[in-house]
Amino acid sequence: MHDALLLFIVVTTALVFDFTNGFHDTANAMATSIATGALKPKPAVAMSAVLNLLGAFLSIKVAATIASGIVSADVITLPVVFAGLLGAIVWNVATWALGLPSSSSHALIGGVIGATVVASGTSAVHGHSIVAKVVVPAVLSPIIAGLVAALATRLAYRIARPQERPVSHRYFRFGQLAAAGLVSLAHGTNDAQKTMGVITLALIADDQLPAHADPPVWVIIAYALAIAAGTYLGGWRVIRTLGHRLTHIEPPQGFTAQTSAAIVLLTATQGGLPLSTTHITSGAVLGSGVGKRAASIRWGVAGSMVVAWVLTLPAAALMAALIGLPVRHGSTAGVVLVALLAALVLFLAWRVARRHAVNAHNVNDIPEPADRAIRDQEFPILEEKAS
Amino acid sequence: MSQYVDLAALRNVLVVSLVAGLGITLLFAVAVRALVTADEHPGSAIRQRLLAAGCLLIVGAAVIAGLWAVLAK
Repeated sequence: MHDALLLFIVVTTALVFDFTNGFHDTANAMATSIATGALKPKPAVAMSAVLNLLGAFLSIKVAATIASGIVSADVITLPVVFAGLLGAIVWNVATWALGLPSSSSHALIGGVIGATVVASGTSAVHGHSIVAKVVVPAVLSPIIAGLVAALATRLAYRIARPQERPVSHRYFRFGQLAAAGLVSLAHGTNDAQKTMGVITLALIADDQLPAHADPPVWVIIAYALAIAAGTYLGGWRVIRTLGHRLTHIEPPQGFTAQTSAAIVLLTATQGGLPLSTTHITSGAVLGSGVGKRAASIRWGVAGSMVVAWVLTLPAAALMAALIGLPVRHGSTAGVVLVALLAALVLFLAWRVARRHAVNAHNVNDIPEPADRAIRDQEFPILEEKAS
Repeated sequence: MSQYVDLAALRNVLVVSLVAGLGITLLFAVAVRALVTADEHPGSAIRQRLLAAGCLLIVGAAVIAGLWAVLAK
């Protein structure tokens, strides 16, 4: 009975993580489409949700790759998975409240590492794999995506000359939608399956599945629905940051940013390189700003994003370690207590965030200071004449 | 560095991303330019629209082939 309750809590926690992964990462695919007006906010997140759902069913190759190799598989227990997932959820909610795009995958890896260290010591963690699977890709992926996006933006502006022919924006918006759809599909094939992989490991650890088993059908359906539901809810704060606060995006830039992100993501998946969707899309948006002549980039916002990226793994690990301390011996009562406490804390965080709600109706309303900063940098002469 | 990451795979990602990203952008931008020209100069509309359709067909085929390669792996 106790084991069944523990398993139920872990499965539910994984569903909640998948949900937060969805709403945190909606921005990756849809922020620029919403910012340029290619789609209204609600239809944009609905389209992304459907494609994430579809993507989650397309392949199960990525499942189990996230935890395997990072820590020793034989130390994975239900309390370790619970603490790891909860640490990642707390980090996801904190960065969402701040409107910072950070990697849900890195939060999950950090959480699993922190919980494992507390339960079994540092010897159970494979440092080499962390560098190869997390650190190196985290540094390289935004650089590659940014480079491709910057060059593509320069090329698009040189050929189509959208400054002289604004009517071309209409056509770029169509292209942008197709590219955003590709990013959503790729996100579904990658991120939903990472949680499926973790929960499959938990089921194997609890002897519910044989070793090396694929995710059961109910796991695939439940987690695909969870990430799609989270995506449909829309992480509007992160969407505003990526769509408006980093740089002012025009439809040609939105097209090149999304196309570059989709291509780098799909090429990396094909090549077996585990890259973060968040890092790739953020790098591509930044690159599209660099590629357009006289575009203004808010480097302060970009700097905050990079700080969040650097902190994601250690912060999620620390939180998972703190959560893992009282539950590491597998006490079901301890897990229940921590789960209730976490639910309360997350509910309070959500209530506090609602005081300054960002939603589908106001996501494109840039707060005055940011709006003015962009205007001042883009039209300094007009501003001087007006004053 | 090479002990931490597959440098050959990384080089492939960089090269393929650059070629595909710039190639698709080039074709799409040419198509957009042709469509805008067709709107502005109805006299040459058919030729411009044919050019745009050709570019967009190549882009579509490239995207489908790329998706197929990733999902069939």
